Amino acid sequence: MLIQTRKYNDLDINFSKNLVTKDVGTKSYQDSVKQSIKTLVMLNRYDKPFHPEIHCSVRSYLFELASPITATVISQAIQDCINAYEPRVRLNTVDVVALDDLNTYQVILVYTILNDPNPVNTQELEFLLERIR
Amino acid sequence: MATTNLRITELDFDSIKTNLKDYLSSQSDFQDYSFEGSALNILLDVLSYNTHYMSYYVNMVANEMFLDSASNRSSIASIAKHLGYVPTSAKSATATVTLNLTTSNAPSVNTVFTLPVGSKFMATGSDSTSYDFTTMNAYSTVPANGVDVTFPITGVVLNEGKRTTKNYVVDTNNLGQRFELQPNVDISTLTVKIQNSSTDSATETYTQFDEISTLTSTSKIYFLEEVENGKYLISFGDGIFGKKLSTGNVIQLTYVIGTGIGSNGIGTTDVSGSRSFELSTSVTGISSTEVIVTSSTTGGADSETNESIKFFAPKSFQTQKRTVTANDYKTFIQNKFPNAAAVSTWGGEENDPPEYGKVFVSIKPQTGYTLTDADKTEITDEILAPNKILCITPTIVDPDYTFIGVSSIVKYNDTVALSPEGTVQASVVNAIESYASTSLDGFSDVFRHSRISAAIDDSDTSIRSNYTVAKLIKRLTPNTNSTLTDSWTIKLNSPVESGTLVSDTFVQTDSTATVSFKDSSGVLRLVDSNNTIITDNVGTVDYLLGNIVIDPINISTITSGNTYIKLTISTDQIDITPLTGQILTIDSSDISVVMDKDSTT
Repeated sequence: MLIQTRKYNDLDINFSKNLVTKDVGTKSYQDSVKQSIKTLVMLNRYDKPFHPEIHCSVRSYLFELASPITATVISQAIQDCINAYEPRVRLNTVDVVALDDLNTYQVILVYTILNDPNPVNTQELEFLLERIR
Repeated sequence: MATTNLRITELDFDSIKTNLKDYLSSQSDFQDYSFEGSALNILLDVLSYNTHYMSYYVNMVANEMFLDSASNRSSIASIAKHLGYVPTSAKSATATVTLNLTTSNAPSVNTVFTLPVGSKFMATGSDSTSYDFTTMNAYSTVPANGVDVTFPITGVVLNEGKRTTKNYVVDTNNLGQRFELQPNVDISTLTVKIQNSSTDSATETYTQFDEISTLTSTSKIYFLEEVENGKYLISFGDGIFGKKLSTGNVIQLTYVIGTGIGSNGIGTTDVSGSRSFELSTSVTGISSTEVIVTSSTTGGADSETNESIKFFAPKSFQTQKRTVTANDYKTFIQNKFPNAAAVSTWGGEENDPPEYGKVFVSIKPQTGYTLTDADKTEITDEILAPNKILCITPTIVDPDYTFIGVSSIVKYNDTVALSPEGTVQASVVNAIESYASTSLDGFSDVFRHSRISAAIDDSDTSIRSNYTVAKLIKRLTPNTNSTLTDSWTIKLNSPVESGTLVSDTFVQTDSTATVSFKDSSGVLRLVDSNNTIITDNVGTVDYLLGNIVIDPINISTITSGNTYIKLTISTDQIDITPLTGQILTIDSSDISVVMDKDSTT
């Protein structure tokens, strides 16, 4: 059976330079989706003009006491945001772990890209949330 | 399907972004534009925001370019400038007083006592605010003999506000030099003098520019315009149109800064022993002063509103500073005389009886019922006379007020009323007064029975219905001087009911009986308190036309103590329409409200 997939491609948000073509860098397929998820997680309220409802606002939780409860709240916020504004993925798990000694939360998202011709492939995105100012 | 044409009519953020997405759907290099987290979507946010920002800005700029849509004061004043229109400034109220000066000893003959320019007075307004007054001229008196210790200075005009002088030294090398007056300056009090230099005190008085056809290179004129923040800017001639100033000239600007409309009506309660004004500065050689009000403060007005400028600037341009049609007179007066609350004008040929060669002007002032004689003189001599066409005489007549007495029986449900009966009753009275102030009090404003009835019903949720009756009331002001005889012709412009005319009681000069007017079968009679006819046939009543004619009569005393006799008559008309020059109004003393409990829902 022929499975037709939509081609995901986007600009590199860091505006890196393609060393061959000297053009602006791009992100494709899984990388494009991953970049989108990361951007959504980092969105604060009012970052989107005229659409304050599009946000994840994890920054606002980073001043809370580092505890399992806060980690759960961050996890829920990330799930709500991704489910609402990233229709290309289905979230499997969102693990947020408070690393007390580092004043940091470790976030591990496991998700499946919809329309992927091989749906058993799950993607994993891991990053640290740290208050730097 | 791809969009080949980018739509540009939508100006809001979401529509712009949707249009850009539609446009991007035609290419395949980047397809993530529709996902909120994608980098391309964030770029679309920036582009859409910038486009929206610019379109909003351009829209606002376009609005401010036209008189109809401008909202900034400076934009409106700037557009009005193109029409040769200078917005009317705030105006300080003026009062005329007599100053009784008292010395310790009788001064010698020919001693001159002078009240200098800028003398300060104080008075307290009806709002309990203390107001400063000042004189714009010097006034002098010379005692007639060497005996009197008290002698008057009459006709002293007091301007409300602070007299201020501001000097500028002209520097023609400074191209950005501006000569500004702060907001709330009463431009009518502005004097502009040019001193040759700081070492040469010789001065010349400059007048405001009015007519360009008479200008020469030596005309001593200044130009006035309103600029940003309600300030006025003064500029001078360029050596072709008007005399040009030189470096080192000193511009001396003297003016009054008043508080506007709040200071009107001071001095109405002035009596011996309780004077309204007091002199704050001393007069050389004088031990005490008494300030006696000749005419109370009138004419105070705030600066012209934006709406007024929008309305009058085009009309002022149409009149070209000439009063030709009756409407020109109206525009002129409303523009130049801010104390006018309503103006009605009509040609003499439309007058009853016709008086050809005249234009009649009737003005309702902001406060009170009629203009003072000083105001009328100012309007005829200073506002209308310089701009009227030849052979036409403007004549100012007082408005013909017809008061409407309102009697209302109001049914209300006391079980659902949230307030006591007295408060509900007060709400009804307020509703009637509010109707009068918003729907009446202007020339050609019609009294509508259904509107006032609806206003009463809506004044409180507990009110179930009302039965409201309107009567017509005229106030006759007789000369109680025994040598003068009065007669009146009253035109009510509504059919009136036979046998319903009553009046206040009064005493005639040649009689001691207290009488009042009463009608019967079209004949007016004088009756006493027992309805016994004292004098038959002192006038007629035309019930169909609503005309009442009172024959010459001498009246010495009005029993009520008022200066007028109140004449009341019923009408069977639902709505009442005024004639030209008439104003319908409701005085609070003519309102009667009776509350009737009605517990049915």
